[in-house]
Amino acid sequence: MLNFEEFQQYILDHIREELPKELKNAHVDLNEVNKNNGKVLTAILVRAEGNSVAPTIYLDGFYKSYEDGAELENIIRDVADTAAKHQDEEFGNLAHDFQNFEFVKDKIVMSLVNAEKNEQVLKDTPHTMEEDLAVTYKVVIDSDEAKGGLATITIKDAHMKAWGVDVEQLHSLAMENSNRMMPATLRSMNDVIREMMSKDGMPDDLLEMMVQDIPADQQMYVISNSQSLNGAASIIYSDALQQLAENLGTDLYVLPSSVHEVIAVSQNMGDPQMLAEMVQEVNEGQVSLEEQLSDHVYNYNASTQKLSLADTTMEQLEMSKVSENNQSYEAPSQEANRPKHHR
Amino acid sequence: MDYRVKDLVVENVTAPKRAELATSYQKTFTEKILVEKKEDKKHA
Repeated sequence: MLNFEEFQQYILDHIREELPKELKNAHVDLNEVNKNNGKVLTAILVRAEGNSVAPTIYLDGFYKSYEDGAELENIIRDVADTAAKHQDEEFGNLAHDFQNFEFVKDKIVMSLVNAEKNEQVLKDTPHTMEEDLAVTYKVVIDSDEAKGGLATITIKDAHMKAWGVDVEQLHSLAMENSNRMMPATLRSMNDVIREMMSKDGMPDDLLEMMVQDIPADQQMYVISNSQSLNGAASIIYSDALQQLAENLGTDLYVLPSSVHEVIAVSQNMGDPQMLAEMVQEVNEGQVSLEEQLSDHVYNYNASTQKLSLADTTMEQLEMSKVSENNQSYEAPSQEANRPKHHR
Repeated sequence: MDYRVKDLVVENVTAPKRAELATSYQKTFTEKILVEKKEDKKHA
């Protein structure tokens, strides 16, 4: 049985044998790719000679199949087929156009991630802190609402420097573009569930029986965007929280259900500790590591229109982090532990 | 499928299915918060 490193090397050494004729001279490389929340995936890149585009084929899933008993020769054939099938993707002059700020400026949007879990990536990624969360910026390359897909490039410090702009400019453009390109959506959880069940073919009369009527101030509300992708950021770029708080006539608790959406409830409902336990429970059982946003609950104050941690404070988070570091090794200074703060 | 275009990383994300997540929240919220609220009212 090969371990993962040996498996990667084996694929690298043998993939050419299965590639079609036109890819015999392709450039083949292994690459590590940082995904959200510190998840690192290993990919094989197969780039045809003279081409600037290479599909990124993640090997982690293929290794899982190998562990589950799939034959190596079948896996190599699948990897080669995948590489061949995705060679025709057209990106035009993207590499060239991307250097031009005029090309990207109307396509910059924001997403919201967990600052601590993305500490490494944030070191060279422009971002704006919002409590323990970080707003990062992406350029939308393609958006297919029908298929529910979005292709983006995350903006790094090097891009920002090359364009000669700063993080405030990125933030301001992202506020405007995100509102235009992926406007916020605000729906009650009841409506969300009713719609999902209806799509699954449940008859209306049965739906009415299943989904109970709950008073407005006792409901959960889902805030996302028109594409349901990276929709948690809509609480930064839209006034959805303010609208809801005004409708309910109370401040809100915000539950970070995932990077794609948040859930908001009236502050008359439960206490933040109990709600945080609920978020942690659902995160552990239902949300993949890559999609998790936070285990904490946030307070939205309608008068100040500000978001703040509700079940803990930034000071407590820093303290617990320092204490964790002290237990495992000699900790660097507290300031060095903080994610880079661009604002 | 993600792509590398020279040194740019193009990441593709597709909208996740949310049925399980939504029903988990609905169920936990009903059990932990709404039921407790009703109990509190009863005892008041």
